[in-house]
Amino acid sequence: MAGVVSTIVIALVVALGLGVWVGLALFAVGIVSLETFRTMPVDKLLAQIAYGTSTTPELIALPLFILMAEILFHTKLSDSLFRGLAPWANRLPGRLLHVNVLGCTLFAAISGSSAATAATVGRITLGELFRRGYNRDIVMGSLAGAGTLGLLIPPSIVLIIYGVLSETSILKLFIAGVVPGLILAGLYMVYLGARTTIDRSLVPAARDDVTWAQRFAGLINLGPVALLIAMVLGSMYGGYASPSEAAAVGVLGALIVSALQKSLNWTNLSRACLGAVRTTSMIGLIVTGAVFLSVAMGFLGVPRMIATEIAGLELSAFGLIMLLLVFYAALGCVLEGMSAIVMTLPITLPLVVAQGFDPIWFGIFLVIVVETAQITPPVGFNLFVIQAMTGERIGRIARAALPFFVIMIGMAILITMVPDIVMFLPDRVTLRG
Amino acid sequence: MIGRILAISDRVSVAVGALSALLLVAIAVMILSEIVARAAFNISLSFAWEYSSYCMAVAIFCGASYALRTGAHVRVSLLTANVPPRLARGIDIAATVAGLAITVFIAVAMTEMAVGSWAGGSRSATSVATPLVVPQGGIAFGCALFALQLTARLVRLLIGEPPELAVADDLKADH
Repeated sequence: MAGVVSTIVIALVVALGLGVWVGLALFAVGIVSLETFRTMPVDKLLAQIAYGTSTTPELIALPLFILMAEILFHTKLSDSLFRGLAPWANRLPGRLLHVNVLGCTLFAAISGSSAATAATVGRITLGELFRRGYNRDIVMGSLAGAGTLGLLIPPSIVLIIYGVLSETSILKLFIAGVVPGLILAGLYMVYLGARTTIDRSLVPAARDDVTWAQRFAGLINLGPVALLIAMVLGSMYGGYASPSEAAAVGVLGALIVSALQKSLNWTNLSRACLGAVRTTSMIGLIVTGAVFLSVAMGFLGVPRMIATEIAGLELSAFGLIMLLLVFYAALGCVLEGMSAIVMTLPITLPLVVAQGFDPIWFGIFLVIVVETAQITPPVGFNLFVIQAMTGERIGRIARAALPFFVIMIGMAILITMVPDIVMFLPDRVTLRG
Repeated sequence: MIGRILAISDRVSVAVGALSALLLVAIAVMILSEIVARAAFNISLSFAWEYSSYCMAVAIFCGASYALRTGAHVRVSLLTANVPPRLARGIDIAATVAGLAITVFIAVAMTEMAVGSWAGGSRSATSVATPLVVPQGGIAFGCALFALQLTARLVRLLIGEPPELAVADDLKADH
């Protein structure tokens, strides 16, 4: 039976290593392993699963949140965020560097993706901060790190997919992500404050002069973001809408913001829609491939075999989680985060649940851990986004993001020791959806 | 001749990509209408969810060829980025052939399913009783186009043309 596991692992490594597209590679490994070890109509099974998965009603939130992010990317929202936040951040040690963190935190509350968050916020902050003479490394590092909040702070595309795959409530996952996301943002800000206090050369000597009147006047710029947060999160947490409905409301909100900022035109709209098609198709193919591979592994008894192996190690619950932490952080270096989750979830989720962890908790843990995948080389989407905007080498951006990687790993260990950080909110609210 | 055929395959993938974009817009419109109908008139448009899920499935597969042409599908580029260009092209050709084989398998499987639903007259077990050949046929069509676009990609690699099309003002995709 060990032959099954090694066949699957080898097939996966070869297919992915060759550069076969992740979604197709997952299908390929499922097809090959079933054709090798089972006599069954693989094509019928594949069609049933591909059809069933791609028509899952809970997944409808996915294309809608993607569409919303695409529409917002073509507005002047990042500019408004900067103008609203900069006067306030100016007071803090580390000054405008905090705009990266605060901007990403706010934008994360309306965006489900981390590269979209880094790209949208960074398109203004990078230029503004470089121009004022902030140290390039700390500017890029803080953007790469804070951009990952897009996955953790709801809405979150990864949490939608995790909810569908693990059959847990997407809404509860969304609620569970809030507190860890805010703590993580707080830790980033503490780090920025401490680091710039120790090394004063990182921030420019000249300070923008801002009066309190200007600070309050500037708040009007945060109006569009506040409106969107109220529409999306408000409708969900208020119990009026399911995640998919909130996403549709978000699309409408994005169109309204786009119209108010006079960016609503045919070019922007068609680009946004086509961009949404590309992302939706890419993610949809990966998710259907992952579900197919997961069913194939189930037929072959793979999760049970691995569970037996792991049980033989006699790890403590904490030991198991630490093993998974290392495993996912390593996987995240070569794979993009969502792919890493969908490929491994059928194996790891039963292990973790058997150790008494809540699937909601594990979802948040996984998101924090694969967030690190966004900023670890050679494959890290936030690094690619920042590379595209600055032209810097991946290695330099990754080094700049390293402290934020360490903070995230620390956060993952913290929620393992104190699971209530995650479970406190979702345990206390009952909502529909 | 080859150039003409490749240009046609490009136009087809962009057209079907645009169709998928309309399907995504349709999802947003249907879900919003459902919310309004429920809030204002206390009517539930139950078909909205069903049709939305079909639109999503068809958009995923019909958008696949356009996503491939514009380089949106995620792949691991660790190996190809670190070998000489000639070898990288060879590996890319191998990956494209493998991708094509898988896609043909999927396209055949989806077509068999759609034909089966059509022959058996299968309908969804809902009040609108949609003939299942409609969404399943849409998926099969998308898969077939995806296989064609992979073939076009293979031809491009063999004749030394760049396999991916640049997209203006691209928001890099992720999750």
